[in-house]
Amino acid sequence: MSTRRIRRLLGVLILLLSAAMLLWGLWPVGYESLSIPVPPESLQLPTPTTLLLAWSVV
Amino acid sequence: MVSSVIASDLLPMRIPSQMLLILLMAAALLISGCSGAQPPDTQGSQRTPTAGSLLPPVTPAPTAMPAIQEPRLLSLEWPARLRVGDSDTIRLTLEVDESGSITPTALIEGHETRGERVFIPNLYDTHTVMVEARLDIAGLTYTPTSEVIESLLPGQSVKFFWSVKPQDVGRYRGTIWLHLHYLPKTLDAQEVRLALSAQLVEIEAVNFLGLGGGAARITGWLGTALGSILSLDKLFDLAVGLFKRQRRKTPPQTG
Repeated sequence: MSTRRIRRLLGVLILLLSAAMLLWGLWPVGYESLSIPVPPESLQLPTPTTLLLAWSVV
Repeated sequence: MVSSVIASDLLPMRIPSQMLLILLMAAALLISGCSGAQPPDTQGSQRTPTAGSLLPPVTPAPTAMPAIQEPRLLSLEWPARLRVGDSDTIRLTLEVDESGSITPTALIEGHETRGERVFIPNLYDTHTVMVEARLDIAGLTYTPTSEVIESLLPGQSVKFFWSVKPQDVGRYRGTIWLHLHYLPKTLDAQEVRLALSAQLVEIEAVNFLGLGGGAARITGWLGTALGSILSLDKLFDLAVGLFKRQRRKTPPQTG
């Protein structure tokens, strides 16, 4: 096998490996997203229900 | 034999269709009356009360606690997979839900009545609402590590960002905590802190042949250049020619 042929083969191998590295390194990462509705009831102040019940029992 | 005789006897006595209809209606009324006498359903099955007959006597609605009268939407976005050494952001948004609608609801003695206007004091008038967010992930470099506090204003979105950077390959699980902090505008009331949400996030850190994101990109660019020079003959000859010409231009140093 001539030197030129070996050089070409080596060059192609390096090129392929480098292309794979570049592709992996530049590929955009996948994002995950989540949306949860928050009803107004979750945003309100807690009602002191237990305290009211205790008063009614006594 | 007997049945055929009876049938033949009855055939001439035809019941008029109007009479039959009246009899059927009477039977239906009787059945519906019996079903009404059944014991009340205590299992809480949903019934639609008719106007006037089933509605309980209207009592004054209980005093509602101050509330934020706008539905919100909690949006979370995070990278599911990250290259080792690369940094990315986790975004958390508490925005106003435009599609959400509030139906005022009043509870009167266990019966729900929709469509009535109920006065709910606006929480923004009585309190300053703060949103606290914190990210907890073990084994991953992230900033800010402490709690981030933003004020929640009517009709405005609140956004939180965290920068994450994995140092090693692995699967990292974390939690994003969101708390609401109600600070009263008057001195007599107490401040309240409530947990609104705790969302789990999972990030996988990966590498390529032991190389992280930055190292793989640098090696990739260098390798592409080297591979192109080696595999393309003309390019190789050009590079060698340029190198030789450069050497000829520089005069040999004489001692």
